Amino acid sequence: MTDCGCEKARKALEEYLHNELCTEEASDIREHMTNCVDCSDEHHVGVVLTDVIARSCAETAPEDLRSQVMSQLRDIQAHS
Amino acid sequence: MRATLLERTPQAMRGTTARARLGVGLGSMTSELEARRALFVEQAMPLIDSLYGHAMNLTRNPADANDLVQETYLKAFGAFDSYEQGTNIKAWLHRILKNTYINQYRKAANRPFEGALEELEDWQLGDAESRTATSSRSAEAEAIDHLPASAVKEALQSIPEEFRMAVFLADVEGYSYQEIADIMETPTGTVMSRLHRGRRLLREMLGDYAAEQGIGTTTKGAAS
Repeated sequence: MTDCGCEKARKALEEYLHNELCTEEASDIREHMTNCVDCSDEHHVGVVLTDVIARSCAETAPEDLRSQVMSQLRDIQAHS
Repeated sequence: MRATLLERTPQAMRGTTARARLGVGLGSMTSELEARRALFVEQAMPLIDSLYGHAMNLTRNPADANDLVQETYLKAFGAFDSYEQGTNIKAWLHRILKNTYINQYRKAANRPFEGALEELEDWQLGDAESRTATSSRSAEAEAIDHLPASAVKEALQSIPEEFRMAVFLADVEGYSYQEIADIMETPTGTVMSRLHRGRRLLREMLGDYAAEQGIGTTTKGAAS
């Protein structure tokens, strides 16, 4: 079993969180976290932060905007 | 009517003149535009929520976000010929939106370029991680998890534009670092740095907010 250590793990946690690491690196980080409460707690804060931002800041375009865009696109076509 | 349309027919299309005389040319011209519009609508319209979210994230108000999204769609349709089918249409549309925003809204608001914030040293931004004692990380996660959406939105809106955009694209829209780099037209290293700093600022602000409001188990426990 190889443990990449806290220092490497901390540096890579954000990339790990965003699925930016290659399979091998990601499994190193995962493995380290199974043995290190500190790093896995730190990772958990990151996950929660992402979830909270995602659910708080997602937007749905107003229906009006949808139909305005559609009718503008139709207009362009009429005289092009 | 027919003559006008034929005059506008591009050189490459002149081969259809014979068919046009037979009365089928106009039909094919129309159907070609129709097909282009249909393809654009099919590919671009499903992204309207995402583009609106991006526009809200940048302009911070619904009226400007509405205008920005409309302009983005018009520009994109106008440039649809230059879009290479099969490449990332999400990134293409978001890039048009960002550039439209920079060229028009930011100029109109007479806001200075915020790029200077890139220069901020780490210590000036604070270090959320170092302030969190090991034992309280789970409490911190718990507190952040219980924050009202309005507070989180407000916090995101208050951080510098470049950080805000990177966080929005990564954490709300789930774009990859490469896609964000394509949209922001910066190297991925810059994306990573903006993302890291933006998230750190948010974590700090949300932690402070939670503490002020008494949200989170530790604070509650201490109070009772």
